[in-house]
Amino acid sequence: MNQDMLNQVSWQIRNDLGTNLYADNFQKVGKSQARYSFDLNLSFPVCHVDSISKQRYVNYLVLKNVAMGNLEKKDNYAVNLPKFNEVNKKVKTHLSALNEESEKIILASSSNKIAKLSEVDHYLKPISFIMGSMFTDDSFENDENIDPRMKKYLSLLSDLTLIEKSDDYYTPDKLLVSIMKKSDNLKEFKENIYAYLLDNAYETLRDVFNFTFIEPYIKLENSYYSDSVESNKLIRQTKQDMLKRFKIRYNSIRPYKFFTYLNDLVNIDCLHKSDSSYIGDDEIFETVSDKRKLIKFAAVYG
Amino acid sequence: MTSLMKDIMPKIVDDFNIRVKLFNQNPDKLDCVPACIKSVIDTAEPDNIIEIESVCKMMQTSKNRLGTQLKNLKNLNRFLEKKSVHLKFYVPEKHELSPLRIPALVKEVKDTQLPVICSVNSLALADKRCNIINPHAILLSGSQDGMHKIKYYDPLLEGVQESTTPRFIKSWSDVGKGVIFVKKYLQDRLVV
Repeated sequence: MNQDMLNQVSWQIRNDLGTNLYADNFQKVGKSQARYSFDLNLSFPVCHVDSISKQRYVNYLVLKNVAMGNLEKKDNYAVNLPKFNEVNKKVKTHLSALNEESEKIILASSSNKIAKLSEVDHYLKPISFIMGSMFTDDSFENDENIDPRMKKYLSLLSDLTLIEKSDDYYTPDKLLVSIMKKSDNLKEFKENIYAYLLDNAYETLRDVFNFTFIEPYIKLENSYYSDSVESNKLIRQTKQDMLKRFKIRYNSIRPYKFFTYLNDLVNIDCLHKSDSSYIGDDEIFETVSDKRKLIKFAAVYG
Repeated sequence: MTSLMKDIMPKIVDDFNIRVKLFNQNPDKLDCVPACIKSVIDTAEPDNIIEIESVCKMMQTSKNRLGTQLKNLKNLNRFLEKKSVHLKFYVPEKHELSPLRIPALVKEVKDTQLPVICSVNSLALADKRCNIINPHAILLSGSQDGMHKIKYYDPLLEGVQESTTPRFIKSWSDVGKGVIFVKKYLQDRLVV
């Protein structure tokens, strides 16, 4: 590769696709010295503003290998690039995947707090019944006439090796016993179980048991913590700013619903309120920051 | 000047003899090339109000994260002509500018009294991350103390930044090297 080639590629990218893309990882194609392929990486700025101090935090989000191009030396250098719409579509797919990964990280980082939402106990009532019986009687009756929905929950708990099935009873497995020992009372025990389920079986709960009500909470948390991770700092936001940021990342939401979810998150310490602004939790922030660094296809540089 | 007047006065920065009217970039829309273009228009033709949204629409930057397709400068120029803005933005035939030409470029900026839009590494962060490529457009607006210091307007950081020539050249030579020049017309006559 010589400088003329690099210049030609760089110019062609900026001219045809955009100024935020750059070529990387040039590889020779075949034995010929005249053909190269290269990755197209994207680096675009993200900026978040602390609502109180008005400090701006600028960072760059780098998406690696969003598309590929190639270079051929004929009379001149011929640069072949994918179409603009194709690259744009791939970037959207990358960003959507990044957001999904980020939501999973948020759930894993705050499941012990989310489990404290009273709605979780409400939606997982069958599990609440099973765990109540396990906590007080060390067993749950294996009744053949039990309703099918309850059977599904029992099956899920068995699959997760939390309970063991014998002829007449379900009994706690080792894992459940250890969680039981760590819990001071039934309420705490149930919350620990819910947290474990959110960590290990959220997809099943969502897809099989239609347990979708926590999604807005996860999205709200993701919206705030993603902004903070991209700023390398917990930023303070007013509820109006949070709503605005949420609408940029996700679709529209009715403000009264958003503010209700926000208050619920404050009540379970996923976020903290201070005067007119909100700030995240240190522990969640650190966990999310660490885990986001492990997402392979994208990196935020600080 | 009263403090109230200071607040309502447009933010003007004296930079040698070039007065750059700063365009405050919305953090939700960080398209640095359109922001630089808007600043050049505001500086060169303060009476001709061209909204940033129009610039973004002409450059088709508002709906993607890919930045600005420079070939869309043609659309922008046609739009500006209709709006009677006597400016033309173009990428020169020899599109890559050698770092050795930077002093000449700065002189040109001073002589023409028009800033130049440069695509460089993120200058403000270059010290920390000189190996990381973050293409970013800035507005080169002048220099101080001969060529030891270069002033530039950074739409991301909302303001005038200062860089030394070696640091600027480093950012330039690492990746950017793209430059958008501006021509100014006066009553349909090219003066710059």
